[in-house]
Amino acid sequence: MDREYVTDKIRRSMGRRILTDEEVSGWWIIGGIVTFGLLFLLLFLKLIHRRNEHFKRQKMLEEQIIELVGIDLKDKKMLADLKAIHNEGYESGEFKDLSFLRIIPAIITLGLYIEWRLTKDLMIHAERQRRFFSCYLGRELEDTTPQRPTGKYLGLGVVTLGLFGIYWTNLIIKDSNEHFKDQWKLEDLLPEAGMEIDEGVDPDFYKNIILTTVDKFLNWGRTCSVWPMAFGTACCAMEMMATFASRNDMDRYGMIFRNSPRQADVLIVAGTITQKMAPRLRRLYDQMAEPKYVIAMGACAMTGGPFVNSYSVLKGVDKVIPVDIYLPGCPPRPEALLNAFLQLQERMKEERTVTKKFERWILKDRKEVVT
Amino acid sequence: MSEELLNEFPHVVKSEDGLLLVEADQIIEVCTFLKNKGFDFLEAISGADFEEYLEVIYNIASYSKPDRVMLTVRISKDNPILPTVTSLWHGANWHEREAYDMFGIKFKGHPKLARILLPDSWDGYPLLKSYPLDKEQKVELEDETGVEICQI
Ligand code: SF4
Repeated sequence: MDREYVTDKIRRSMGRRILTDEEVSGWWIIGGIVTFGLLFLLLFLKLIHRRNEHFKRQKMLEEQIIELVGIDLKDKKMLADLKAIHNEGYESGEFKDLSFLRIIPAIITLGLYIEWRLTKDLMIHAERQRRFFSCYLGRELEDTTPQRPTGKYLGLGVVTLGLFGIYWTNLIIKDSNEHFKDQWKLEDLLPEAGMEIDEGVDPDFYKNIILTTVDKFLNWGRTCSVWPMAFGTACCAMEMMATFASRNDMDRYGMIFRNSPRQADVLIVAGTITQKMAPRLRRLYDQMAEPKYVIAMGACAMTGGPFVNSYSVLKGVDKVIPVDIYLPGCPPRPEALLNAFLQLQERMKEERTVTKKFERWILKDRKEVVT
Repeated sequence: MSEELLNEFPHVVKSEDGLLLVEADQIIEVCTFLKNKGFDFLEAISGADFEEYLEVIYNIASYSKPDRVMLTVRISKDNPILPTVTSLWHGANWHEREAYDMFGIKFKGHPKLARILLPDSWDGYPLLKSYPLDKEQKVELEDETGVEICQI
């Protein structure tokens, strides 16, 4: 399951390449010359953007591959190697975005700065990436990106008062276009690349503003009306009642006790659960409507608490139901329960109900196409 | 009251710590005698495990006197059977079920001798000294159609 999920993620990262690895045409250079360098500024911005996006995608892809190798855990040495190579990317600054403000030193140096930087970055990136994929695929891949003598070019650029930069920019465009093409070929070699990537569609398009806004709206509604179910079985229930009574007054957060699991969002397990009670607890949980959450309140609900050595006490409610928030204490104070609710609200804000539905739907759809 | 009882039943012994020890086959007679004397309330029936034998303790009280006696019956561990007193006090029903639940003491003639606090599927009697505390028990919940929902 996990593996499939990560593989899907990898495939989607690869699918993103249509967006990030955009080919830049050589006509930009002509346009730059014609407009006496003005278009060069735009071109530089575009190149910076392209560099950032491409490196970001590469970073994501590498992380996902590492995750995948970590799940299999067959080859520990490979995992360590991949991690080491991946970390080099952080050290060399490859994974750090190049700020658009770098255009200012570029203007001052007649574009030479940005040309130098982009060339160097690309060379470092291509070299590291080649090693990464070689390690993952288990065979040496050849180095296809040409090495450019940056120092010499810089000298030439200074001597020709930046005119050499025109040629240099041309080289950069050519080199990165080549590099992208190489990388696409490389990615298709990966064992995970089995799936057709629908190149016309942004694979992340379900994360668009409409769906995420609907999600946000839903989450806002949910977080502001968390209705817990009254389920107190022991001393912790006293503190739960205190939390909802006038001093702490949970009503002001929109939290009102319901006596039926059908109307409740949260199950607060407040108190000791015996083995005889456990199936009933499970039944109550099953009767709640989705989305549902569970707070295990107190040591008893978490682990069995003071009664852990007794014959009939369930050693943690997570044996029968999934728990979202663990709240330690014997009993926890009302403030602690309040905090647990606030934490739960934070958690509920992360819900992506509609987006996930779409994602699942799309993935399912795509799989049907393949098989 | 205990003097009267001791005179009536010569087999009942009073131990040095004040307990009235009754023979197992005499318990119905003793209880009937007490009931006729106005002891109308059975407070509790509890069990105890003394390794060599089991003890069943009857706390019987009277609202009219007021008075209270405590009877103790010793029974063997191998064959823990006692006659029920539900015919005298209906309140004995659940107390006897609890004693059965925890100690495995069987009450002959009880209307429904089943487990009361523990799940029906429980194996063993947990308040016996020989019961291992970490014993794994299987507890299941099934829905109406018999499909298993949950299992511990
Ligand atoms: S955790 Fe402590 S206070 Fe809470 S139910 Fe258990 S024993 Fe009682």
